[in-house]
Amino acid sequence: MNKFLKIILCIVLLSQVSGAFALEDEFADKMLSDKFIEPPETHEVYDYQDTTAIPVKISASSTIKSEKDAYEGQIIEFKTAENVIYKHNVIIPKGTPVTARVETVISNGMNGIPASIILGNFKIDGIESSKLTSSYEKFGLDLSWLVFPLKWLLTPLPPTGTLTNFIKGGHVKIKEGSTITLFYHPNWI
Amino acid sequence: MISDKTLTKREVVVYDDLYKSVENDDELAAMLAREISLAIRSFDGVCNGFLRSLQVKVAPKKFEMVADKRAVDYMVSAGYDPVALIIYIQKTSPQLRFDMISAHNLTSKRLASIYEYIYTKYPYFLKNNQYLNNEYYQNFLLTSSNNRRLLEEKIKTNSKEKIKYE
Repeated sequence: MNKFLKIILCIVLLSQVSGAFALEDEFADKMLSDKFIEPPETHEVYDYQDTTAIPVKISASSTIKSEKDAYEGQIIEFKTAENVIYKHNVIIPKGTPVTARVETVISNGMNGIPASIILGNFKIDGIESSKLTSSYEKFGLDLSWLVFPLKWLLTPLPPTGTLTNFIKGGHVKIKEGSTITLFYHPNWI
Repeated sequence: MISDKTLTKREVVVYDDLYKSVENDDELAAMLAREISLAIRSFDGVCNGFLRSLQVKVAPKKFEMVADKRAVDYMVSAGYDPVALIIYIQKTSPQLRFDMISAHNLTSKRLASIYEYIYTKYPYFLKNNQYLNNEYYQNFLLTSSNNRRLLEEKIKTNSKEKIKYE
């Protein structure tokens, strides 16, 4: 009986020890514990029948010379380039500040693959973000349309085809004043 | 795993071995979001998106990371918990020894990159982490301590450089 009790005691102690080994996310605890964070906006209800989309032209307020100057999480400022009209009313006047966030930076690569910057989280005063285009990708000069045919053309002459691997795609540039077009979907929920 | 049909035929193929590893709606959303985020790159560009598909095929590692990040966005937008993507990848992509000559990144790099993305953009899900006691997440915590330390240093030093995860 004594032996049985000892075994039970050992099992209880061991289970407590193994329970204590559950890891905590110390990094998240350290960085986020004292911050109040609201849940992010979701977009769960769509009306796929509704195709109303109002173009919103925005122009960059400053220049980004290349994707190397941009980093993920960076806020970029734009201004609306013209009045946005919906049902005969100006819903966004020209010059309204717009902010966007750099979501992803893709560096240029071999074979002419261009760099690109994905912008998202567009914010305009008085307009719900969930009703705006969710993301916009700005590309650099794409040379792959030239590289791939050239590579195939040079394949019979090895290794010249392989050398085309070293042609790199262009960098992304967002010039001050350059415009991009977003879409505002007024009927989205 | 990139299915050929994802890019060329714009179809998301659900393989039974991957599907069997899905345990809840969040993980199912992770699996679909991951494939959709790749397929969506083939919808515009030169030759009706053919060239972009070719680029993904030529530089799979680069676009693998991009697809992971976009998948996080899709999941959050659709109301799912993006931490499930870490769990799904942890389950379905075993860690390789090295990735120098592989078409895929090391799983540890992918997971660290997703974790950083969630921390930067959707910290709510790390603060209220419902998967903390999940065994796959526990495994991630165990194996990613160095990478999370690198992220912590980056945040403390306010660096804008990309972290070279292990």
